[in-house]
Amino acid sequence: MASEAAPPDGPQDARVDRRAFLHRMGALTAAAAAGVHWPPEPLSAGGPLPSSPAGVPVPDPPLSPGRAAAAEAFWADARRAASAGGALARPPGELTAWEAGVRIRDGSLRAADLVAACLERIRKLDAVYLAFNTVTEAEALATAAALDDALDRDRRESLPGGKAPGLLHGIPLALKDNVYTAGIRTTANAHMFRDFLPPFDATLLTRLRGAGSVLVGKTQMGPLATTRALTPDGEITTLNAWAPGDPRISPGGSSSGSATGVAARMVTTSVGTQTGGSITVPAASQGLTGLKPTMGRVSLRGVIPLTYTRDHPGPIARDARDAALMLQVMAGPDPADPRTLGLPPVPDYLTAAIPVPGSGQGDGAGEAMIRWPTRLGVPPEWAGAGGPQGERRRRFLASMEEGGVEVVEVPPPPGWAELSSGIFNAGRLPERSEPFLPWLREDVRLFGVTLSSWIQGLLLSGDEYVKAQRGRLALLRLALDHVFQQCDAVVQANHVPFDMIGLPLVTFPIGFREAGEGGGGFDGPLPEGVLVGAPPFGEERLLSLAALWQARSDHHLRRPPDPAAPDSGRTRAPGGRGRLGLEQVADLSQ
Amino acid sequence: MHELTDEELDRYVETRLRIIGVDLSVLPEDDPDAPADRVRIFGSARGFLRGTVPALSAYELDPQLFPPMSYPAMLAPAIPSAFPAVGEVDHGE
Repeated sequence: MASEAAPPDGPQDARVDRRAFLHRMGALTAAAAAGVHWPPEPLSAGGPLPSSPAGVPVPDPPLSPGRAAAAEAFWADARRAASAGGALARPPGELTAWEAGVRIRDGSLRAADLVAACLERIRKLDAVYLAFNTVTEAEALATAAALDDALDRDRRESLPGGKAPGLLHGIPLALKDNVYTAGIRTTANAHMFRDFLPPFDATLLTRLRGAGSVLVGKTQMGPLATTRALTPDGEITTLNAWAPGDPRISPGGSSSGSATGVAARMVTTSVGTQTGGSITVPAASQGLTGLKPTMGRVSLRGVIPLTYTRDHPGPIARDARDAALMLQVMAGPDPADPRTLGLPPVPDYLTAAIPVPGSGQGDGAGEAMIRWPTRLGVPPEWAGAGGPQGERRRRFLASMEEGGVEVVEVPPPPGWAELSSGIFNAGRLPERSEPFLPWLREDVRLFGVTLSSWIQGLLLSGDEYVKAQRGRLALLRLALDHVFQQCDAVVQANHVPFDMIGLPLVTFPIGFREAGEGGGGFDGPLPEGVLVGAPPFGEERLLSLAALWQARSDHHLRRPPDPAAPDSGRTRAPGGRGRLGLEQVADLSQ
Repeated sequence: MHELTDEELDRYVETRLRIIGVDLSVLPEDDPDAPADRVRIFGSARGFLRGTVPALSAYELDPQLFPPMSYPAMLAPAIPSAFPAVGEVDHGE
């Protein structure tokens, strides 16, 4: 099951014992069933707010010599790529995080100007998009100025061995509104958290702040992370940045605002959470690169929970390099989240996101090639799709082959479809309902238009819940013993199986649906993403595939046009965008 | 056994929820403009009980996917030695 013969410098997924991950997931499901460690903070209905987490240290180890060298190599390559890509000539808000990082490091861009550019776009356009719940303008400007001052001081003093800027120094960040922000409202778009002011930052935010991220706001989301962004009572809020005139075109759920914020260049980076597709679907819907890490890779302390065993936070970014920068910072153990402990060390994601140049011997000299020998599994029906969609998919696969990837046909093993069907997926519902029972008892109307699935979670009996958990482990075994015996990464038609079993997923754009090609009558282009999964701790592998494709294509560089600015005086409030009913929300429930 | 009627399922749902202290009577009876009402919530619950629950209960998992001793249960969070080298495991120092 493990790849013991893999070279020591290969990606981590080839070196770890996958059986250990299977054991771990078994323990996780048992933990959920036993109710231990959850909720991580006392979120009691009508009770006191969570207490301060004093005494819970968040590890922030200095860069090891090897990691520092990797960062230096990353920035050297980034300087070369930014120069070739014309980053010096583009407005700050249009830059990727790594391009902005290059310019902040060479002194041609100040963090304060970058943040101001994002805030200006939010002021101008968010009344159309409704991507933000809260904009932290004053804090963002003050933080950016302080980061500029710190960098100026370091440059003036040029101390030998002085501290290098953090990987995300001065980069604007938006967080889904279920991530704790000390003293800043964290609503999860739900009635019960309407006035919740967390007393501390989530661990992932502490890490991002420590690397220099500048929080510019909290983003709209599906109520309690269950569907596309809506008010608790079902009114549509956030729009897809590619279709701001058509609320029927989903921005993807439930991290809708995080994706729209990045796609509309109102922010450079964002964080989403995924229990049922909520990073990869919004990212794919809006032409972005979204990465759901392996269960436990990123701490969930300070994230309003949906389920103990399926919640995953991760980056929603413009490209693979940005996702690598973010994941490098966000990943790591957290003593306050047992899911993050006892894992293999965080590897070097930065290097994974840099394709290697071809040598000219059997490949194109200087052309981007895959970093590690990689077999990409593809279900036959995915590659065999008809029409323009099938052509896009086959172009993608052909390009990957030219980049040195071995494309292999991998049909789903027998049992895969049943074990990842809605029947077994329903096993997540009791995990969702149990910690919210105090609010369900208090007043079911607090759940607004999402109530159906919370009630369903109370109707599954213990034996059925256990059956569903056994089904998940069986599905994980099928993935490890069958799928990943034939390939190192696998294209997926949908996110459900990998969400269920805690394995990593990445999405990135491979083309656009054009007018008349679906999209509910919308006549503009809509991004189309590919979804690729990997074995446990396969994030490097996924980043290497995304980076290879992005080095050989330009779909990730396309940006949606700005909408017409709203009439002056228009308020940032939903209305006139339509409403989803109980049944529609239940169908979309994640 | 006869097929359960809507009334029987509704009574089951209401009883189950009352046992654990969840009260659906605060919802309007039938109001399509409300975010949720009793008609739609009970309809959704009946569909779940007629579809998902019996299908999950009846599903027979392949015993080959559960060899009795190959994958013994572990205690959370993990046994570090299960990974390739103890020194490689990150305990959050």
